Amino acid sequence: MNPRTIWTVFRFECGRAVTFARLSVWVLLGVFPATLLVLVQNNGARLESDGRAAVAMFILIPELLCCMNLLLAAAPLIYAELEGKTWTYLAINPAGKASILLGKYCAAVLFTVVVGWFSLAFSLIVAWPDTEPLRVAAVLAILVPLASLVYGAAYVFIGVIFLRRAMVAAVIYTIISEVLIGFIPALINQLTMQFHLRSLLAKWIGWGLIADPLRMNQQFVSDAPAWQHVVFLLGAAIVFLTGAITLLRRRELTLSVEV
Amino acid sequence: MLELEAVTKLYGSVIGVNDISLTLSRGAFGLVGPNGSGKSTMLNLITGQLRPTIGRVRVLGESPWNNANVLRQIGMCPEQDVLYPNVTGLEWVRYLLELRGWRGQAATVRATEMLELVGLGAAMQRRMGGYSRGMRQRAKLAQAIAHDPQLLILDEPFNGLDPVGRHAIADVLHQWIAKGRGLILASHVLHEVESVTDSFLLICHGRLLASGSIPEVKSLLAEVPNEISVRCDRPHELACLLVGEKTVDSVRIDDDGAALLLSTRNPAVIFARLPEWISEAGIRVHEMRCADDSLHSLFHSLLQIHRGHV
Repeated sequence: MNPRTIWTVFRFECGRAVTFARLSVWVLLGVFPATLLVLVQNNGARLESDGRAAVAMFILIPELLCCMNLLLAAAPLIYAELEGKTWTYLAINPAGKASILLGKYCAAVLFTVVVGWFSLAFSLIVAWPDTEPLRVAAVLAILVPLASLVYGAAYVFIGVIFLRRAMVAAVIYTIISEVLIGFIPALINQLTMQFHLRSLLAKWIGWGLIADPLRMNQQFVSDAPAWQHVVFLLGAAIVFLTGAITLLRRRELTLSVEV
Repeated sequence: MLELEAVTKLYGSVIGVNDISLTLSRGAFGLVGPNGSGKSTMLNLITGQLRPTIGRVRVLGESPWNNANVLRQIGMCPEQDVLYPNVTGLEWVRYLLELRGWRGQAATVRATEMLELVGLGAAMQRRMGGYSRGMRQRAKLAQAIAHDPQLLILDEPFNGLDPVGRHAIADVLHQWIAKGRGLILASHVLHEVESVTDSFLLICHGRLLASGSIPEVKSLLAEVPNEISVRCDRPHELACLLVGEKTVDSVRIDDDGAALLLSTRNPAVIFARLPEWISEAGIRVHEMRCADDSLHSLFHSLLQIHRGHV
C-alpha cells in the first residue's frame, strides 16, 4: 500500500466524478434536508428553539444524507468497476487492490463531506437555531466527516462482500443496524455507529441544548468522554477497511466471473 | 517466460481450464481457440486475477497472484472495450502509468508517445465516450505497452479495427516482437494470429490441444488424413477411379451430388496422379480444394483428433 498511489487514485476519481449528472444528484441531495426542514416549519413546528434544529439536522445530514450519498458512492465502489468493465486495468496494476480501494474510498468520503457541509449551510439558512447557532453548526460540521468516514468504510466492506447486491445489502444493514438496533434501549445499541454519533452530538452541543427528542436516557446516549466515541468510530472505520482490503485481496474478481 | 504445471481452474463444477502443463520461453505466441474454450481463464491465471484450483502458475519465474513484482512486468489489453466515458485517452493512460510509479510530466510524455504510436495522437484529448471501437482498442493497446512491460498479453486485440487499423496494430506488435519482448495474443480468428506470429497454443474445452510452430504442430498430424474436395461434372465416375487407389482412405459424394470428397494420408501421390485420371476419363473439373498449410486447417484437424473424430 503506497500513499502516492492512493493519492493518484483519489485524484483521478475526483476528476472523473465532476459530471453534470453527479453534480445534479449532489445538489438534489444537498437541498433535500433543507427542503424537509422548510416543510416541517410550514406545518407549524418551531425548530429554532430547544435544540430541535440541531437534532433535526443531525438526523437529516450526518445520518440520512451521508448514508444516502455513501450508498451511491461507496457501496458499489468495486462492483462499478466490474460492471463498467474497467476492473482488469486496476486488478493487474502493481499499485495493488488496497491502494485502489482506499483511493476510491477517500474520494467517496470527500464527496459526501462536501455535500454534507453544503447541505448543512443550506439548512442553517432555513432553520437558524435560536441558541448557540455557531456551536450547533460546528458540531454538525465535525459529525459530517466522522459519519462519512465510518459509514463509508462499512459500505465499502459490505460492497466487497456482496458486490452485485452491494447497495441492497448496505440499505438492509443501515435499516437493521443503524435504525432498528440503534434505537433499542439496550447495550447492543452501543455497537451501532449512530449511538456514538448521537452521543457526540449530545456531548458537544451540551445537554441543556438538547430537548426531549434525545433527553436523556443513558440507553440512548452515553455519558462517556467524547474521545471514546471518536476512537470507537475511527476504530470501526479501520476495522471495516481492513476487512474490505483483506477480502478484496483474497477474492478472485474478473470481468467474466466472480469466484 | 511462462510456466504452467498441471493447472486446472474450476468455477464450481464448471471447468475453465483442464490440466494444462506448458512451458514457454520468451517469444510471441498466439493463444487460439473457439469462444468459450478457456482462453480468457488462462489469461486471467497468467495475470494473477485468478488462482489455479490445482497446479501452479509461474510468470517470469514467480507466481502472479497478488505479486506486484510480476504485475509490474506485465501489460494487458483485455477483450472488453468499455472504458471511462468522461475521461480522455491521455488522462487514462497517464493515470495507469502513474499507478505504475511514473511521475507527473514523465507519465504525460510517455502516455502521449504511446498514444501517438498506436495512431491516437489526434484524439488523445477527446473523451473516450466519443471513441469508436477501433479507437478504444488502440487506447487499450497504448496503456498495455506504455510502461514497457516484459510480457504483453492481448485478448482479441483486433476486434473492431478496420483493415488499416489491423495492419497498423500488427506493425506495432511486430516491432514489439523484434525488441525481444514476450507476447501472448489470444484470438478466435486464426488469420489474426498468423499475421503476427507463427507460434501458437491451441486450446479447446479448457484443454491445450497443441503448442509450437505450425511445422511442429503439423508433425502431429502426420497420420491425420487430408480431405480433398473435387467439384466436377461426373463425380461418381471419378469416385470409381479413386476407390481402387491404395492411398485413398475414403471417397464420398457431397450432398448436392456435384463434388467428390476424398480422404488420403498421402495427398502428394493423389495430386501427382489426379490429372492423368481426369484427362483419361474426360472429366471436367471446375474446382479443387484441399487442406492447406494455414492455421485454420491445423486447428480443424486438431479439433477432430481431440473430439475423437479422427
